[in-house]
Amino acid sequence: MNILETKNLTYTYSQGTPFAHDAITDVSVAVREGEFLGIIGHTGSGKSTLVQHLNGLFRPSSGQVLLNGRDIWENPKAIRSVRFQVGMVFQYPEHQLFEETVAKDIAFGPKNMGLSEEEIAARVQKAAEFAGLPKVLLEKSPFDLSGGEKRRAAIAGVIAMDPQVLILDEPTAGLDPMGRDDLLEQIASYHRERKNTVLLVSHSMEDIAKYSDRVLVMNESRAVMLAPTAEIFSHGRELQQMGLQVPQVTRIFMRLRELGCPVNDSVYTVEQALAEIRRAAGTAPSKSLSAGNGGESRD
Amino acid sequence: MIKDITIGQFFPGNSAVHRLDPRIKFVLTFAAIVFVFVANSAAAIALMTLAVFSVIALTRIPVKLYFKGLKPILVIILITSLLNIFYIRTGNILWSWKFITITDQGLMRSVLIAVRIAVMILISCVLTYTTSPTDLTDAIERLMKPLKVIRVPVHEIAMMMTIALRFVPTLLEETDKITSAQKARGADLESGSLMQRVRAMIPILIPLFVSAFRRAYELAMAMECRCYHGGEGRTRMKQLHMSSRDYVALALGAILFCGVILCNLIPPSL
Amino acid sequence: MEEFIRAEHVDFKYEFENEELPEVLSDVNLGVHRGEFLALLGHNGSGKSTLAKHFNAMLLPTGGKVFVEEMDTADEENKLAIRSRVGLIQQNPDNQLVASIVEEDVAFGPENLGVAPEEIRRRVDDVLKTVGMYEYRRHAPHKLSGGQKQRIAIAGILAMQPECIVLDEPTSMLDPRGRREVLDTVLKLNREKGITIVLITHNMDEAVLADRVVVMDRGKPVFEGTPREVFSQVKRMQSLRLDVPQATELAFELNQAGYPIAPDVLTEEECAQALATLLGKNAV
Repeated sequence: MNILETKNLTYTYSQGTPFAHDAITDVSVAVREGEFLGIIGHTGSGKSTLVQHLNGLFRPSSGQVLLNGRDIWENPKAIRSVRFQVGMVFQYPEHQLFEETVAKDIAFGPKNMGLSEEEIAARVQKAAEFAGLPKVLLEKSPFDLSGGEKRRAAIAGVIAMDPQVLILDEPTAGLDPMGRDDLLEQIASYHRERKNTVLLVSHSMEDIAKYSDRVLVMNESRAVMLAPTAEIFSHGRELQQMGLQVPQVTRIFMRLRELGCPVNDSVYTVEQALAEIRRAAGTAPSKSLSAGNGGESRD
Repeated sequence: MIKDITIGQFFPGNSAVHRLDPRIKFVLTFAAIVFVFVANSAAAIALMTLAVFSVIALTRIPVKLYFKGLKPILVIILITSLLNIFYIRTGNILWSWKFITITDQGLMRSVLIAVRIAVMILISCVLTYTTSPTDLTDAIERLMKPLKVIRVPVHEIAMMMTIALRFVPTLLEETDKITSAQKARGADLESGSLMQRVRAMIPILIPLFVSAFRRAYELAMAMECRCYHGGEGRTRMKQLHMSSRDYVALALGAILFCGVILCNLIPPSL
Repeated sequence: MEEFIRAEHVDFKYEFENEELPEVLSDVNLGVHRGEFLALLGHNGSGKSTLAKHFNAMLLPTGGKVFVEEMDTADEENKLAIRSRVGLIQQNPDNQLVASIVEEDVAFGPENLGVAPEEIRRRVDDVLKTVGMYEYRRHAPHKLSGGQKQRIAIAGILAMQPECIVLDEPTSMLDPRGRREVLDTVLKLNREKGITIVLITHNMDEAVLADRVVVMDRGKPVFEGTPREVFSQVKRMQSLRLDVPQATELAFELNQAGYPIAPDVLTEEECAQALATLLGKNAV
């Protein structure tokens, strides 16, 4: 079942002027209900414009966006309800915090939905939990939180609307490796528990590779590939030609194939790489034969 | 949208007017605005109008854009001239009804006022359309230098203008981003009473201020890292030099202003 | 090698309304050698940014001393001399540019130092060419990409003709292309112009290019070495919650599992060659 679908979607900037250019051209893609979809493409490829069409922030120049099979612009006055069903977390979401307390800020979305006080309170609790935000922080000012906590609070503000689809645009930008891993794990566990559809826009191929069921590749305003993750990364060369970096292990395996080793061409995580080498090289010789002792630290 | 306002905008170009020293442009613009009001005969105002349109032609910027600059002021021009028509009761009566009397002098005055305001706006447009904001800031800083004697913080004012110019587009862009993000959370900015709409701006204004302060803090640090320590001992890369073109412009300006004074002496033909 | 910057027993804590906050740096001893490319690693809150701000007297130690070319950073009189010798680039490229025209922004530093106008002009053209932004000299910064803005910021520092540039996560807000541009520029400055580089980063692809890597944790350097020495300590890096290159991680895991492969592989090519040997293909 497709939850979201675009049909021949085109968006033209500065239409009717000499500066007119397409940000997205004739994009027809379908997002399956419950999947974790990664979206990649370099800056200017149209991926941000595309996702902002999915919750009705942009109105298509031509073509359609279907949510549960219905055109979201069928009734332009009801576009706000689309935004509650398709939650969107922008880059650096912590820059949008504004309320006195974290709880009030998270409640902004649910309040706009016109929910009852009790329902709002329950949603705030639940969303904070999903975003991995400790309860003690809820009554603090959002401006007193650490960088990572602020970002979680902002994400909770979108989750609190209980959207069917959650879109995250570069959610880990500017975080350190620890903050990045924790946040992505949190999103992955939200996806597992809520069984909602998640769309992750990222420049980090490693992150996309690790979490996505399928990947959409945008290039020069068009959707050029939409396929299961393994299949996408078996097109390493093409991705590189589009100026996209593939994970380092994928590059190593591409090189191995060039060197004449018959290894699988769709390896994109270290775990897969280990398994593949094990398969190709047979079981490891006894431990005593191993070269070096890298496990011990040298100061 | 804020982006649609043309007055105050800069249209890069390479015309004779563009290439004038910004200080000269600034001084001439200021003088011209004064002389639009000094001119009090039809002939003098006609002369000023002619001069302004000649300069507009020299800028090689489409006249359409200048009229676009006039548009926001149109209402003010209309109201002022209407007030004048009804207010002035001297001269021959052309039309009268109850307490409303329109005289030939009143009509003449209101047309003159309308033309004056329009010409004044057009003159300002010539300055801003042909001079980059940084050049304008430079001109103001250098022209105001003598005021340092009376403790006007000239360098500081110019620095503030420079930074403001640099960050206006950045903050506009940021406003767009924050607006999108709050709309994505269901913020309703388009409907409701005036009070409701003002209140709906809070989720946009607070993040905008927070961000502006963060930027200010980081920028201050970056400026210190680049050895900024106020205006003392500071040099400028860009030096302004008067060229022959600038002297010609000054001379033409002087002739024009003399012409205006002479025209003022000619008695109106009415 | 000569130590260009030297931190001796540096302690630092912020003070807020007479309330003392916990120490951000404690007893840091670290030297930066002239001409080297040093990478500082550590997760947020490890104190690396705070340390970086001590290198150009933006922050002064609350205990201990920092010397730049033997000048004490705590001496107010040395401040301008130190800042013109050691430039600092921050994370957000937008908030470092002062003027609305590229070349005027680049001129800002030398103008503050009172350099003669013709000399500023020469330097501005020169450094804009070095960072590959000369064609953009008349552009407005807000229309440029993040990578371009960051290169303008670097040019603005270069125009002061510093010995050393400290970059505090200069690429963390950029896309992969911007990262590449900035990193190439930094490498060029180090290799061709001999400028000392201190690069604070989370990105392993950047750190592997350094001559020396220093890992910080809880306010002090915990270990250091060449990138190979540092990253091959996979377990230790992971316990500090830092990344290692996938090539290193893969080789390390295979080594641990008993395969005959060196555990200190650093680059992609090394890894591919080692794996090819392992799989019985002769390396090319």
